[in-house]
Amino acid sequence: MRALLPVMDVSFWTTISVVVFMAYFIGLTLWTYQSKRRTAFEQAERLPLDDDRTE
Amino acid sequence: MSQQLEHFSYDDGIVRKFVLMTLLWGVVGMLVGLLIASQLALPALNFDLPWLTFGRLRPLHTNAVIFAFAGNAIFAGIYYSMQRLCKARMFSDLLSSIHFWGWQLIIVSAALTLPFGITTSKEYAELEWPIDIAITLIWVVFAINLFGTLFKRREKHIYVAIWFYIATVLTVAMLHIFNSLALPVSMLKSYSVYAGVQDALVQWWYGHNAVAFFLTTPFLGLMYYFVPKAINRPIYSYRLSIIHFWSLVFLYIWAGPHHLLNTSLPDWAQTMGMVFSVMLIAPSWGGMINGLLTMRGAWDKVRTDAVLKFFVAGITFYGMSTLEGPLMSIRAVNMVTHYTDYTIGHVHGGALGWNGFVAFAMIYYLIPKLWKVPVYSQRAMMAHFWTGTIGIVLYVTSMWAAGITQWLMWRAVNDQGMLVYSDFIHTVTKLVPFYWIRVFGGLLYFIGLIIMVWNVAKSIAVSRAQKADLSDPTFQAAPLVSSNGSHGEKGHRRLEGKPFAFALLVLISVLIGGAAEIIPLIAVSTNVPTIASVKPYTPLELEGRDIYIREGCYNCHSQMIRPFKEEVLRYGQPSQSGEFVYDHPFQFGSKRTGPDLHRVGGKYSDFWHYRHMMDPNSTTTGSLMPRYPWLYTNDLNTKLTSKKLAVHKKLGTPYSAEDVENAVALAKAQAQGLAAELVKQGAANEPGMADKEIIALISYLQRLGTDLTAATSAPAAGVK
Repeated sequence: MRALLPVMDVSFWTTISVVVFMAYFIGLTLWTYQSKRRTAFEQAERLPLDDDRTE
Repeated sequence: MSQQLEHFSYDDGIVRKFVLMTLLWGVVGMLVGLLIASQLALPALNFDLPWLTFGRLRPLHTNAVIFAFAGNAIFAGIYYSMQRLCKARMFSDLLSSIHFWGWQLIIVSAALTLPFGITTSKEYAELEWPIDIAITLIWVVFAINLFGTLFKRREKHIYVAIWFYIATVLTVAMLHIFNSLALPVSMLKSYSVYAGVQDALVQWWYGHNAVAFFLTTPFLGLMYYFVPKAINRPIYSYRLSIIHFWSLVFLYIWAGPHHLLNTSLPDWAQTMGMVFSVMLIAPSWGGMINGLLTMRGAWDKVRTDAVLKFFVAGITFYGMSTLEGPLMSIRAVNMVTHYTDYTIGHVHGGALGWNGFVAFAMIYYLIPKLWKVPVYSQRAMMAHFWTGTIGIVLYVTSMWAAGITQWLMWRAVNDQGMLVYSDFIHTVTKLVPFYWIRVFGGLLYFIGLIIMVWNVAKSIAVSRAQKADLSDPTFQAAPLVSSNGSHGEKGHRRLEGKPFAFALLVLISVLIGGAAEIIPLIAVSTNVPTIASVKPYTPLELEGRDIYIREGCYNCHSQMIRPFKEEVLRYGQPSQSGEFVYDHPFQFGSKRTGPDLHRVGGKYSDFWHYRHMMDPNSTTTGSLMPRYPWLYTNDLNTKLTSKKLAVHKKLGTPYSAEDVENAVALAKAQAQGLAAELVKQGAANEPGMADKEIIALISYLQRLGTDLTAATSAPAAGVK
């Protein structure tokens, strides 16, 4: 950590954080939009509507 | 496979209580807002009463609207939707009750302390340490109740609305605890453990994320639950909601430094705040699109259904605010918007439009569910919607215009390179018409709220007249057993069944951004270069500074000269981070209704300040600053002076043991000198003048910004 401190400038932090975030974002998007998950998501999105079933 | 069904009921009584308190505190908070908006155009409306002045009431307004009005609305919505989404009663009725009454008690404590000048001066975190501890305890009660409900739920998958609630509970706790760290001097006074730019960064990390995790994520959760309910169709895209959620919680926490652009905060932190703020447009608009497109194919209903009207307008305001906010976070744009009324317009677009309208929509939706009668008057709902909408438009546009006017006047220079409006007052009086338009817009919004209160009261009256059955009805559902857990499910779908793992991931997401900003700033000493001539305040100046904090001067005056030509021409050398190392807490401010004060020390005579505080118009014709006559009659209380220095010493301020011990004598000696000087300059020689609070305040004001030119051998705490 101490070795890193001197290079913690604008380019270091913005580059690292943008790369990490983009990887995170692309991975999440790819996983979410896989077609095999359609049915599961269709069930999940009905949860607030189905909560009336018990009433 | 058949399973034994369990019988259970929902606790709607607690929801009814939170709904009613939302309305009550909404009226109180907005009424105070109307008063202080009027005071900006007509300062005499404080009637020379300390507890009615703008500086003391503005924090009451912001706290009441954010934590009382929006807070109670959030809790109402969460308690209603959590139970139904989990198919379980809240974990504990007792905890629900403690949460409700504890929160109301905290709000009352705020109302009983802020007008009396008991404040930390950290925006949206002004409450003193005993109340901060109470907030922490009540928040823990809320968290236990929420996670306990998740633990006993009968629905395996946790719906997206609850993800936002989890993010809210965890992040608000983290923000509140770190930002509130302070050393007490007494039961009603403490000093932030952070100083100067470090304090500013921690504060705006909190302040920005109070907007993010108190005014955004819980309301998004409410949107994801109540919009589908109101229109009776599922959310537009569940997939988009997953991307929306994780992107938002990860990104939001980094954006705090955009509140400190062009200040003496290190460049790297400013740039990081700017970059992440601009990136925030994507998830924010993902959420907005998801909310609005849920109406697809049913837009005709929006024409006739007031609940949907409020939701659509509220989500649209969210979209506007979340585009405007990132744009304002770009350094060049921030030059225009920061310290001006433009930001006030931006904030109220979000608060009145997004938070207010979503809360109103939710309450109108809930009335028939909670009181078993239709809303009394549909026409009154429509009237509320239109008066509210017109009110917001007038409010926001007048503040946009005022902000841009301010900026243009502040920076106007003539052919000789001199300021065209060198007297700051010219840039203030120009704004009065805009301030009246703002009052009118706010009044319309308030009238809309009163219409709603009447409508809800009439609905409840009908419910009582009809003796509607408000007891909690019994439902049945199969219990959640581990055998029907997560077999065959992977990734996020599996995570949705595991609330504690989910919560841990949320916590990690928000910790990354916070730690990346704050740890380097605190750990790397080069971020705040030491300036040898900067010395701690004298005891009298420290007391004066506490009066400055008590009166809420930071609500109208900044102490941060930005490195722009026009600011240097008007105020002097740009502020440097090393000048604030003894400022517990920092006083950068966020708005310039009056001029910046960082280099006001020595700019005017002591007597000028003496006359100015008694009647600002005597020195500055047309001033909108209120009078402070009580500073001339109140004796300075020095009972805690030594202890105040001792606490500062513990926080790292280099006071000697002698300074601490002799603090009162040093303060009195400096006050005698200053009083004698005032008499020489023309002030009436009144008995006991040196003991008055005004003397301490003048000593502080005359010290501001002078250290850069002071001799390095000046004594630390002795009389200057």
